[in-house]
Amino acid sequence: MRYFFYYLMFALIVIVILFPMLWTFSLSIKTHPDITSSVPKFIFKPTIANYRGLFTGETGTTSLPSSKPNFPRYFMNGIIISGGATLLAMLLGIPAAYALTRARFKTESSRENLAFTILSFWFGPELAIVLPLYQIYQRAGLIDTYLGLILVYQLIGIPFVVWMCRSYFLDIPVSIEEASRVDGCSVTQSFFRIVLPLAKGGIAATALLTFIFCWNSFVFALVVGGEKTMPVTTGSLSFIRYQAVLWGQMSAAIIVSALPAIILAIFLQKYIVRGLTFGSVKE
Amino acid sequence: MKKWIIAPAILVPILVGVIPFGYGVYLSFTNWRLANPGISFIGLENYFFLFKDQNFWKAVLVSFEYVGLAISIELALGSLIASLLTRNRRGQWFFRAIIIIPLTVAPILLALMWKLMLSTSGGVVNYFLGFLGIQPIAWLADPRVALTTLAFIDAYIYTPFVALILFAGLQSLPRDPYEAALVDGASPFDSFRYITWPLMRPLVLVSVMFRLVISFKIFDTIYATTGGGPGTSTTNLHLWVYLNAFRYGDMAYAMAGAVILYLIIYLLTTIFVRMWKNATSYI
Repeated sequence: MRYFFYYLMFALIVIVILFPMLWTFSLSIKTHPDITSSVPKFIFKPTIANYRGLFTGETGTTSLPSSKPNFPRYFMNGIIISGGATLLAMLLGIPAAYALTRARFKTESSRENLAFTILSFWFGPELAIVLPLYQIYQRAGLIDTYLGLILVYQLIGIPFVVWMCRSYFLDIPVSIEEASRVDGCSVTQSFFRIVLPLAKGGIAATALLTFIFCWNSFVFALVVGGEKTMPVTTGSLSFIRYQAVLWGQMSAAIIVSALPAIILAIFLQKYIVRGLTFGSVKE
Repeated sequence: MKKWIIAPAILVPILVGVIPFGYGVYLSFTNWRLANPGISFIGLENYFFLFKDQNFWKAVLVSFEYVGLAISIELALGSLIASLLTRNRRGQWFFRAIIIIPLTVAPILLALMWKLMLSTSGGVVNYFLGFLGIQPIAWLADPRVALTTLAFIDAYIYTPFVALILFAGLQSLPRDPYEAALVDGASPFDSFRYITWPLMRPLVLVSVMFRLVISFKIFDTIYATTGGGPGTSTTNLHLWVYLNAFRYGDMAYAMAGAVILYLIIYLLTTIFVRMWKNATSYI
């Protein structure tokens, strides 16, 4: 009886979590009349027209004005921006994280304060930064450019990479590195030969999670991005128009944009709690 | 190991974060408008207006209401899920994989999924409630319920975050003190009060701190579902900043609001970091 209650609760939670995704998926394989019927349809003839339209730009069931949502472009933009931002954040963040755990500081608290300073870059509300940045970018010609977005995404990437990798480097006993130093390794050598191989699982997870965070971010792309650099998050709104809402294609776009994250979620289980708390909670 | 290796990881966020924000603070003392490039210094005028502006105070109130409601739901459901997880080892892997999904998918996409389901014309939620004899509810269009609806969407996305952190904590609880307490005749309430709670407190604080930061600066889910409406019923401070900047073009005034939002988040995180340090100091 006790177990029945547990399983009932589990089942309920799983249903609540999965239902929106399954429902959105069902909308993505419905025709426009089926979606907009006043009573939701559970039995219908599935169609792949929405997915085809997503990639060919045909709007099919509704008539739309000139500027059509260009989903393949949003998807590519997302990969370029998130990929570029992740690469840069890893390049700058990993050495910094390592130095934060191993370099000598005057006091322990000055080390902690520096780490918290880096974390605090992530605390700021996006618009407080991006409104003045909008003006700066306008002058510098960085509005609606990949470089401009990759740079501002460092406010998400660097704090995350530094804190995450720091927590993995702290797990590695200093004595191993000291032993390698005695055997004649330089600091750089012991970092590349000892520390990196030992932390590679954590570092890979950090890279994937940084990519996801950038992929999911919205406000920066909304303000300093534009038509040319629009990623999937701001792009998903372009299916909503004054003339008509492309429900079917929007659902298809949501599913395609969410899929990479859903797949990664399953593989990143082991790292996710640590990741979401910036390494402050270990399992 | 040289400390200067940390420098690039601090310089880039300073360049795209701290300097723009500092410049923004300066701009909040000017009459900067979107359409008008000429800027002159007007002192504290924007802030004086802010304190007399009813809409501004309404937005602050909405922010606090949203945060309070969302975090209460998430803590309650999160601890329930965490304790369910500890009691059942079978199927734990599957269950965890499922509850991680909302955390990796972009919040804006999840919000759009709910928007599709909560629609008043043929939305599936009202359809199901109809079976229970409940009249259709305008979830996102009724000013009395819209903010609550948004808090529940927030809970859908972030309850797993709280649950996973608390679960990690429950997993790491030592067994010995409980056995000792049992031998000494402590009641279950006593062992919760004197063993579980002190050990879990840092994790509760960490999860609440992250949730406070994220939900105070929440923007994307509200922007995509209600856009701050109906009226101003769901315009939180972050959205208020956006609307003032880009709908009314009053960049300097919006920036003044953004500075206040930043101060609120800064103050809250400082308090929580201090509480967290105290809570972990004797473990």
